Amino acid sequence: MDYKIEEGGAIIKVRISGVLTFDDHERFKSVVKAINESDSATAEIDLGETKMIDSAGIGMLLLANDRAKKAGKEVRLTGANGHVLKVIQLSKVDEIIPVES
Amino acid sequence: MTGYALNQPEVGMPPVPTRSPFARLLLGALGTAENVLAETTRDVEDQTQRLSGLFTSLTENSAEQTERLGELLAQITTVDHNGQSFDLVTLPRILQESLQEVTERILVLSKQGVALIYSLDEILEEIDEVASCIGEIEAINRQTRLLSLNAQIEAGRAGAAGVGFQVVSMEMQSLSRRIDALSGRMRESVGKVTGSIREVIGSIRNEYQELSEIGAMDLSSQVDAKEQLEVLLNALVERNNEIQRELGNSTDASRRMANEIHDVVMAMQFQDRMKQRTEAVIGAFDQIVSFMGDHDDLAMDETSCEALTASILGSITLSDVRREFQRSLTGAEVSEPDQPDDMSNIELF
Repeated sequence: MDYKIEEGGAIIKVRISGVLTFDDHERFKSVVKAINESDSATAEIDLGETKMIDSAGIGMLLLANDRAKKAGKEVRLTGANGHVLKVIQLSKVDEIIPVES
Repeated sequence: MTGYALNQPEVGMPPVPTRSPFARLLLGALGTAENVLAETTRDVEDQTQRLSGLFTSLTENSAEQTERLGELLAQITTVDHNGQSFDLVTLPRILQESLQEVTERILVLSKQGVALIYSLDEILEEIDEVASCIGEIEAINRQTRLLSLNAQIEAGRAGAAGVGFQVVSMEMQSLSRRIDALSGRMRESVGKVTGSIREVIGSIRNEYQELSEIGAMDLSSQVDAKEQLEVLLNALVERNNEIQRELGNSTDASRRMANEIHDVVMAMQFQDRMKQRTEAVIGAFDQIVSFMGDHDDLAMDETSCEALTASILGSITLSDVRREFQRSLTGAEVSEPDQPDDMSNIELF
């Protein structure tokens, strides 16, 4: 997994590329930390370039959402497609975290 | 009806006057026609009743067949298990719900696993801080011990004046040793806790790898299963609708057939009207034959013949038949209003 953070105004944008699996949990911690320490009230996680996600990856997204909420922030997912979108729909993550196409 | 033996009176009866050949011929022909008509009426009635029975049986069989078909289809689309009946169409939905439940549990475990690792990582960071503090304490203690040693040396040089100070420096050395022992125990505890936490993290990682190996983690199999179940569900719903449509068509066809057979049976009941007409003709023939047999001498008598005509017409209940006979026997056109015949006289079956 690779990630790029763009912060400006009310939104912090995190682009995640490659695969998001259990092996990425240490690196993803930096994403969670960046969102929580940001001044932005909304975090947008862009999955447009994410090729594959496993259940741990979904678990990490849910964890990021939980911690952001505790910090009074909102998270939304954007750009998910193919396998990633199917897994999001199957796991009904879209009922917990808003998903935008 | 009377049977006739031409010119052969029964025993004990008065002799019958000799008739003309034509009268005998007419009498014979009328008697035969009467018998043939009566026989034909019976035949038609018997056959009509038989046909009617067959058609009625056909209608009942058709209705039973449709009912059995409905029951069979109901059995095909359901499965019984433990006294409960499951609709086949709902089975993929049950499987989907079960799959959804399993997926949700995997996600909860995944999330909790990652959250646990993150928490343990944070604890490890704190423990590292504690270990660093212990290191600092040890460094300070080393420094203290060195100072204590220097104090002892200086106290020795001072001689008797430095005796008290030497006692204090020795107490300091003793304290330093105790601090060493304490930091050693703390380092050991920190090492054990760190080892345990790393062990827990390692086992969680191993469990994730095992889950990955059986494909529970990447959810691909669940995605495929969900799609296949959706296809299966749609196919089953479509097939069920098709069966219901076909069953509906079959029921409609059976109903139409039953109605048509009913119409046929109703149409055949008008055989009874034919029977009444035939019986009217037979009755007329019977009276003519009786008259000729009993009153051959009155054949030329106008009054007797008019009485016979009136008797024949009076015995006919069907108006159209009566009109026909009236026209042919009296030559008069009768302007009787067309009234429906009394249908209650028709014996329905």
